[in-house]
Amino acid sequence: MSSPPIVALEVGTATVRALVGELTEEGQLIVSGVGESPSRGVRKGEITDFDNALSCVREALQKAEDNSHVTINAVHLLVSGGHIRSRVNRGTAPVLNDAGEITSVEIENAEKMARAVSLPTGHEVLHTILQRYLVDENLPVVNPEGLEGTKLAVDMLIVHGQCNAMRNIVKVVRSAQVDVADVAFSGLCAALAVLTPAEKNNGVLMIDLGGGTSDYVAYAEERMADAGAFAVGGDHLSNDLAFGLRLPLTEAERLKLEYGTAVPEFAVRNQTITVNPGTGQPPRQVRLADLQNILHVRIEETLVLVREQLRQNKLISKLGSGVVLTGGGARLKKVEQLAEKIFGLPCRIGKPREISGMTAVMEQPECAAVAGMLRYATRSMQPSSGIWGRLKKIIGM
Amino acid sequence: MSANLRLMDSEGGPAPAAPYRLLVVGVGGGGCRAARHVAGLLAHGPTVVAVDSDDHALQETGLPVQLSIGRALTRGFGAGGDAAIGKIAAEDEENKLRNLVEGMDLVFVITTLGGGTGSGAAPVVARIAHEQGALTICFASTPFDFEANRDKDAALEALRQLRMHSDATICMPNQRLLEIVPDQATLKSAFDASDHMISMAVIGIWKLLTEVGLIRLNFSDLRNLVENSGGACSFGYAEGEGPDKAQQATKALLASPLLDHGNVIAQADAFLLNILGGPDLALLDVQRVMNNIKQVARRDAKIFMGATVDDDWQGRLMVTVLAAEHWVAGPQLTGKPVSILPPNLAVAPVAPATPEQAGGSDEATPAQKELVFEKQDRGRFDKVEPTIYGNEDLDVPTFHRRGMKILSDRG
Repeated sequence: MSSPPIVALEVGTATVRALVGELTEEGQLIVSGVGESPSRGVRKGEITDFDNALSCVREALQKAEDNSHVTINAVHLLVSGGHIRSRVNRGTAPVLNDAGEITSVEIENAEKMARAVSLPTGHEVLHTILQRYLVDENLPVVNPEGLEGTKLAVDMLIVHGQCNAMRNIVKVVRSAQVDVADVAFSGLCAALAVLTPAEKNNGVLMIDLGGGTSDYVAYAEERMADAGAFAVGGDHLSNDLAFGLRLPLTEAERLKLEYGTAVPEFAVRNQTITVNPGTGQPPRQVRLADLQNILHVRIEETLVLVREQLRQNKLISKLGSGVVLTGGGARLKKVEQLAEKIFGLPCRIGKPREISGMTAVMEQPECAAVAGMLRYATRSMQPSSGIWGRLKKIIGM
Repeated sequence: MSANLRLMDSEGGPAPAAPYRLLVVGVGGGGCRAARHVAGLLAHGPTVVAVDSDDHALQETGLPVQLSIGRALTRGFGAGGDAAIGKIAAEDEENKLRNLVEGMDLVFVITTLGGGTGSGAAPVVARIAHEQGALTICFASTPFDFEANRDKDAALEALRQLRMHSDATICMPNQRLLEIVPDQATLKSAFDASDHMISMAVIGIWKLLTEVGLIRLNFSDLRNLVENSGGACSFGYAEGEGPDKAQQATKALLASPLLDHGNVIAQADAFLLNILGGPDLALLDVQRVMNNIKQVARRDAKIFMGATVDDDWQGRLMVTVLAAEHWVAGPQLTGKPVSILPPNLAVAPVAPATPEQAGGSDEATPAQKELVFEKQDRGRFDKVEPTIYGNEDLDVPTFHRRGMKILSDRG
């Protein structure tokens, strides 16, 4: 017997994607259906055209239903966007009992304080992730219960985002007559899908190069140390090409997929390719070097943005397992080579792990986040997460 | 004037023949080392000054004029790889630097980027020289890839600063040298090659201005090229010997990694080319060189060409090229061009001086006109809130913000 099917839905900038999964008794996650629709009405991870986005969501869900023979009533929804950020907040609680021993009361009080964080206006908490406990502010421990001390501190990573942007996506989905069971930051889900436990322990940076956003999550010193998103993605690559070579977006998109590379190749410097400018204009030649250089400076800039963010938090030196790239952008040729150069760390391409059923899903880095959501959902179905109540409040349910 | 500035005899003073007052300033450890190299190769050349925050390194140069900067800050022990310290150190000695460059027609600032003093102080020196009215040309090398202790980003940021404050900056990525030095080369020889490369650039331009010219290139040609270059130039040279010296030299020049295997010449808007030969330099040699180069260069490229004769070069020939990657004909009255580009943190992993990646501006090129067009049309990101980071709108194509040139026919 397996659990009831879980549906993960991502209203992405490039693609709206629904994944149906089931958890077997052995704890194995099996994907039983997938539905995809080219996305319209989403820019940089946020809804810009409600009706278009709605019809894409309907189409994707319909396909997933047909595909998996499951009726979809509720979905676990991914959110992203440049507004998503994180910060570490510390909560402390004095040990007041006579024995001077840390009990569940102190732990609860400290955690409560750590979760109470002041955020920018219009922002709400999306995730609170426990980082570590500190007894008397200097001794890090895994489980403080029963230890002696005078003060307990706890560090939480608070992932937060703009309320309105997140509400808009929920609204679209609910308009498709589907309930939203849960909401999670897509970067977090991608990290869940592609990173190995060993990588998380050694310290690792995951970057999900999506169509509209580049989400990142960094693990350092055996905890999640930073997470967030930049509103720059594959769309920018195509738009830059369209602008630089004066081509329609669809043609730019095709060229990106066919000839794109993150590192310009010296050998092609004098080569040209034939492009189709459309609208009755005859095909013409463009320099392959131009195409490669335009893409190169954009993807480089995007990776440097992430690097500078991590540098500010002094995390780069703590990434023992290097960098893992995933998302559609990870398909760009030589992108790992460029990332290795920029971060000075080894880099690999991450695909969804430990998920079986549909090889098509597992082989695609762009499915990482939505596949990770299935894993996230099976986890949060276990009780006592305590976060879901808050989430319900955020998204107005 | 304090004891820091030691003016000794002027054995290395300007050669009497030079009608231009030229000063060569080496800034930082690497810059001073290269400056000493220049002084050694040009016995009767221009005045060579060493500027560093490390007193010990300064003394080792043995150059007659030395200026120690940042004493108060570093106590003469160097900037410790921190460009911010290098910058403050130079700014503290602004008056002395101003006295140094006062009245000069031409100032060459030599530096190696990626450390503290070179990256931080060289832009200050360039700015002061430029403010004093000298045509200021910087020669900067960027670190080898293996120099992990040298901050690549800091080097590129410093390069941007240099381009902003000088009339032209000639960037010589050390990494390109690895293609020239043999695999078994020692570390020292790699650095020697780097010093030599900078020295040859300095000397090449110095010769061009001072030697007897059969086809004369003069100061105003150099000024025209440099001032309208948008701040980014590349330098390359090659030699030939024997009966087919012209062929040899041009072949080597076009294969030289310094000019990106001929790509820099192929794409440059304008370049200055000088042929240096002995008294035996034949018209045919000049013609051969020019024909070979013209075959590669763009048809609309502006070429400033010169030929000089030096008795030491009997039977040999050297071709030097200074190429401006973004050059605009005619005087630019606005002067400083680069300021429209905000400082940027990018890494240029291929070669910072290739035309595509040069941070120079091109005020009258087509790319610039589009900036206006673009403000109305943001393409796919029209009507979406712009993504602003560090004063840059990331929705505007990166290549555009960096002033990169698109050479394709764009319909």
